[in-house]
Amino acid sequence: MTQYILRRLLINLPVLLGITVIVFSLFAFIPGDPASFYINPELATNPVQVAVIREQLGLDQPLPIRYARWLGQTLTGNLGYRTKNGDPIAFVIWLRLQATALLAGTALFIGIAVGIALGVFTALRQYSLWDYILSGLSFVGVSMPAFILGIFGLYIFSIQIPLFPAGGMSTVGQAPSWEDTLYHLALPALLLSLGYIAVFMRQTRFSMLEVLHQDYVRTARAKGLHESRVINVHTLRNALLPVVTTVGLNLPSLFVGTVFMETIFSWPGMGTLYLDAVQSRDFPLIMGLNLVTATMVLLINLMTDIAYAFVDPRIHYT
Amino acid sequence: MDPLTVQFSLKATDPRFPYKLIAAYILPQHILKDQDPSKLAKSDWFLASPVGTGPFKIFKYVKDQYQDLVPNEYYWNGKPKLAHLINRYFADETAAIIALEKGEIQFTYVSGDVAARLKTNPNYQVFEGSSFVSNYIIFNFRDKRFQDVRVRQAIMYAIDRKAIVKDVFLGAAYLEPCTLPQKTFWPSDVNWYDYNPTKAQQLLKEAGWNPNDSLEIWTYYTAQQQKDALQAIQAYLAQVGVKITPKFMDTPAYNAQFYTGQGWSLSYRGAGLPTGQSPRPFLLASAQTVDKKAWSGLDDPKLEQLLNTAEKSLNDTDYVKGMQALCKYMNENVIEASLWVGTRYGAASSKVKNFYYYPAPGGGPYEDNPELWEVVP
Repeated sequence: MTQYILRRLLINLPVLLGITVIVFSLFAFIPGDPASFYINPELATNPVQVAVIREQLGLDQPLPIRYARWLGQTLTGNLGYRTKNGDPIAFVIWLRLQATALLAGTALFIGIAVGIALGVFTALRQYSLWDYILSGLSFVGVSMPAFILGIFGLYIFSIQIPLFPAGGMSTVGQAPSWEDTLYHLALPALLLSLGYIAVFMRQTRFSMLEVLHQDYVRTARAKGLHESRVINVHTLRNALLPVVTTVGLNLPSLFVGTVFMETIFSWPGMGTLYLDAVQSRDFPLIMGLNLVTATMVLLINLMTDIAYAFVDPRIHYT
Repeated sequence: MDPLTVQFSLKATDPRFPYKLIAAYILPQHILKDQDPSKLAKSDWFLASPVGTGPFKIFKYVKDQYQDLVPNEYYWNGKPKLAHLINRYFADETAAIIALEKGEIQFTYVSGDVAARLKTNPNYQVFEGSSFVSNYIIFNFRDKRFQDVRVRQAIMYAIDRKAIVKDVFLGAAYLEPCTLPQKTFWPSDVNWYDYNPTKAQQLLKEAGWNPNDSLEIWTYYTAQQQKDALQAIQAYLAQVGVKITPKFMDTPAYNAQFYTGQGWSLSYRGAGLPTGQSPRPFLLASAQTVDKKAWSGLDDPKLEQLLNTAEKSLNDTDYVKGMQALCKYMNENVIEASLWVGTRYGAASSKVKNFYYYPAPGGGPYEDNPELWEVVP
């Protein structure tokens, strides 16, 4: 297993390098640069000022030189500074990553816990009224766009039934506290989790139904095992394998962020940072974000593969 | 010259100089004297620990979330009544309006449709004013088709601007005869180009316009209202045989291409011209174009002469007369297809007292007395 992990980590290095080259190249083709972001078309801009900005940002250099400079700097652990306001990129990403991990992580946790539980529940009651109701709701959960859910949820639970605040991560003017953060986190995390609940519920239900009809499950029942043991030990563990894959596919959202929810709830996360970076053509920030995100995705894929070995004892890595 | 007197030395006479001082700020020499001026714009000092002459000062700054300001006890007009003035960041207008309605904030910018709704609610007070941003269609005179004034006039006659202001902007805009949003600059005898598609078709026919021609119209506007306005313009022009296709771009992409003067024939854009701002950059700026002509490729000595005459006037009366002459010339020759000036709104809770807000600089009273603002229970 150790050799496998080391081998995967080594393979990831050229993959990461390739990703940075591709992103850098694609970005070079987008019209506009950070200097053109500074120009507000509705205000009279001094072109001399723009030229100075372009030179200060190194935008007058050829592309290979700009990439080499960025790579050299990154290899020393310095992700550089934002072109928009000079903020250190590593610091900005770290702040936003925490906010996104908190929101998306909470939503994902709720989604996994509730989704798997409901998936098992509906699988064991196939074709019952509960099965139809919950399966129907899962279609709604999967289909409902996040921005509609967010706006609707904010309107209902913040104004009509004033249970939650109207956005932000904390109450302005109050000293930071876990209670206050949880109070602000509750509504966006719950709304975001609805999509995850729907996905995991459907996946678990489908997997459970497949496994429930396997011969070894029939054998376990024939042996007189208690139903709870049949479900929890013999059925669920096997049914979880595809669910692990789905969890692995959704984990990157912890780092990529959820633009719509972050925008609606004024949650300063990675999603809105990404959007801001592209809109302002903040090249160093885009490269930094992609490097961090790509690294996280590759590590998560590795962790998902390792998780398979724990869930399915038939799988061995050498 | 002394602690209360500053002397400005200019290279040339500039009667408009006093009006340009609205963009000048007093900075603390004792803090910034050793700072490289070229690096000032990126300095975090302005956000984290600025020193200013305004009514409030920074108390707390939580990045990407809010700025908490407290009264500046040394403010020249007296210490403000408010204990805290908090500037919260909302990425989405709807979220800000919900926070206003919930009472979490007491003021926000709102769009015209929201302002119309809140105006009838006694819990809110709505402020409105000109944005001093002229929306217009700029012609690229490098495209020979637009060198004929009849084509430009036809485009003006073809668009029912009143209907667009009423139905798309819900009345939150006013028509303008030239791309100068101050009404004092409009002479009384301008042509308002009232909607007349028959006349538009006649002018296009006289000019030899080919109805099979298709053009792109570039814009950086992404707000839905502006998109709707541009699509309405597209429909009106199609009725008279001018086929345009909107090309929506984000601001950096637009800036990278538009200012070269190449690749476009028409553009729907805005020009911010508050009091004191000269229209010169929007009419004549040429530093970024490939051929060193104005953005629009316009080469009009008469226009430049009228602008120079106005800006060299030594008193306001002559300045206004000069700008009126400029406006008339722009209007008759449709130098730009001047459309409308947007109105902008702010909404505050009725619990906020002695508060004044005006959307654009130079459009309201000289003093908005922030030291008197207060929120009553």
